[in-house]
Amino acid sequence: MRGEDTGRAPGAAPEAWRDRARGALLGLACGDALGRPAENMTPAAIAERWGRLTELAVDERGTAAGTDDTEYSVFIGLLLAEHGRGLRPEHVVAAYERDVLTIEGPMRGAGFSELGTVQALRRGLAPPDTGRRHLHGWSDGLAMRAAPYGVFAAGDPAEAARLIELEGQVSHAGEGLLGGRAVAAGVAAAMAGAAPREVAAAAREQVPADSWTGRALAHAVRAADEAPDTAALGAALHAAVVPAHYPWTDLAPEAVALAFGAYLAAGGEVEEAVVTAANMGRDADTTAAIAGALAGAGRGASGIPRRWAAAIGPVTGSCLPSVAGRHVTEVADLLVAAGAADRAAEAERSGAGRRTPGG
Amino acid sequence: MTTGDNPAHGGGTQPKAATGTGGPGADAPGSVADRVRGAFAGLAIGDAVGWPAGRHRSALLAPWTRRLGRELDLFAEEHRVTTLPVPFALNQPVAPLAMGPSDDAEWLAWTALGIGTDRAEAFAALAGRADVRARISVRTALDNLARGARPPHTGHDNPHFFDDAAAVRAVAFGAARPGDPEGAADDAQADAEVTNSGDGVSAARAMAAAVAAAVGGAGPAEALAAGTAHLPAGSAINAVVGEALAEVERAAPAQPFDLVPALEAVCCDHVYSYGTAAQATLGAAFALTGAAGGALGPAVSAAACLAPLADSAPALTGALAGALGGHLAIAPAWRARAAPLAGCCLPELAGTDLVGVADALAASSRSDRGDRSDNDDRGAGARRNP
Repeated sequence: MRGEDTGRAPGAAPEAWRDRARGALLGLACGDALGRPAENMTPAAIAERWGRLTELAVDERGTAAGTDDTEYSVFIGLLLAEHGRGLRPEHVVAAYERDVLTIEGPMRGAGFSELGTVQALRRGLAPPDTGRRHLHGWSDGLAMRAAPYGVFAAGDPAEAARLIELEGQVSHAGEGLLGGRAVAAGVAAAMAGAAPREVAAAAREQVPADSWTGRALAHAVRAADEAPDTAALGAALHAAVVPAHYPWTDLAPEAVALAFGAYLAAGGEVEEAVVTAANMGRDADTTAAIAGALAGAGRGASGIPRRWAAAIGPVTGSCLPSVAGRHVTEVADLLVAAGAADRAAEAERSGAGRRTPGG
Repeated sequence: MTTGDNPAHGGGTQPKAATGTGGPGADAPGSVADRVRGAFAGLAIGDAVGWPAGRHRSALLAPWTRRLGRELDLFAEEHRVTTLPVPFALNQPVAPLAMGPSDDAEWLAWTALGIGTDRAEAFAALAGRADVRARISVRTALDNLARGARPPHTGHDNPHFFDDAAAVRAVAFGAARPGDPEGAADDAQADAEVTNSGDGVSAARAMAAAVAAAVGGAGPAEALAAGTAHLPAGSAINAVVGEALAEVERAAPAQPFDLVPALEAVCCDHVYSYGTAAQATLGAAFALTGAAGGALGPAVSAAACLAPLADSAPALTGALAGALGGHLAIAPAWRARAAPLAGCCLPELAGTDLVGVADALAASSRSDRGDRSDNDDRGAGARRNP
């Protein structure tokens, strides 16, 4: 497999943060769009239909639509930009009540965890019971929208993990929280220029080794090290982390392992990471979105294939009407500004000019 | 046929063994042996009355009958007809489609026959077999064992860690320890951790403890309290079972059937594609057993009305009520339906008399206790409150 990108960012100038932030969320949107038509397909079926799926499906205007991965990331990114380090579960509940519970008719694009959370909120429950009462605490619905935390808390994986757990407890429990922590921490490390192996190590540091997610990530690292090509990587990961007798593809430990495996095997290169993840099937839009966020955070917006980035427009609000018209790059810029303001305030409070993370 | 009275259905386990070491036999109403039989037969009756039993048992017919059934489902969809298909035989034998026990009764029998053996080894012996049918939690655990994982990882790294497969098997561990809810819960946990985790294990502990108390002579309230003591604070199963029991309090003295709407609102989530989550089925089973004061008929028939939970809530309810009321309190016509097992999940159990299995378990646990201390059985007897 490819060697790793060991080139660190040249310091942490605001422009570099912004480029990486845009890279992370553009990478997420591209992965979501590339994987969308391959969701729930087997690698064999994908190969039969596309050979290797490498191009985003675009409409007549050349725009590629994403799904819940991108729209919920925008939703959470805006909330995080608003509240920063002061984000509380109550803010999340209020946002659900304003933007999600008000959706009339079907919740298009929503997974089990979103609807389970909505039902728990309608029962009048409060977090963390809202994330525990339904059965889908393990869903990858938190990991899919974890990238904004890494962007905001760039260079501080522990803070990214802490923040996502505050949000995640509204909708998730157990392994679903761990999947979110791993991706948020990984993106935070990649934002500071960490090489893929270091990114994976930072992610694993925020997850107990004695957990399903911890074991699945260990499999991902091993498979990426040992597999001679992407076909072997997919086969090894499927054998190790995909439950054969479970019909849904929404398990966080599985999705996170597939995404990290693809990202590591690609040496952090955006197109290769996203394409590898999408072609492994399962929850392909989510796994490719996570791989794209990790790789995009490391390589920046300039690392996104130009033909892909050109196809990413404002989100349509097909899953979450409240975010219609927002662009992931706009959210990235807001998160960078919020992170910078937050660090400045922190430095002022401590009075000691705390070192800029990653600087 | 009143099974258990007929040694020909013993399948190698002679009901006569029930009159072995110490204590009154299964012919004494309310005796430990009668209650152990009641737990097993009650589970099998509840298993039989849930609508999924017919689908499980149809696995004994040729696969094309089920393929045609799926095509008839599609036909109903495409033609907008409301005449829905049911399991059918065409030119196949019709016996499997008669009302009778299915998956849960077979897994209980398998557990009881292997009691005292290492649980991971017992499951590992099934791992390579192509003829076993089981819940998603169990199938995944068998795969995990085949990959080299060990408990508790086999049950933890498992998409359906929360289901009630282990709670069903826990009836065996409860029945094996009359009057010892704590010991039964620990035994059940060792088994449960192979296939489940979290709420799935808590449910097994609770079910084993409640059954152990009931077969030891406890009344309904005491037995259910022995069970709920094992549901950790802050867990979903604690919340759902607590809310379900609160509905019973609120509606008292309502009949179990009157509670069905409230329990549907508390227990059924309608978001997910499966209805075997332990929080849901245990909540229904505990509430309906409590509302019925342990009476099997009202409790089980109400549980069967909760359609999404009908695969196992009636079975768990039947096990609790049967353990409380004993086998002889069950109508003979229903006792006859508790056996023989069909072999639709574990083919080697086809024809096995579940009551005979219960008798063998009662006899072996009685002699175990006799070996340890004569006081154990007397203690259980003293708490008997038929």
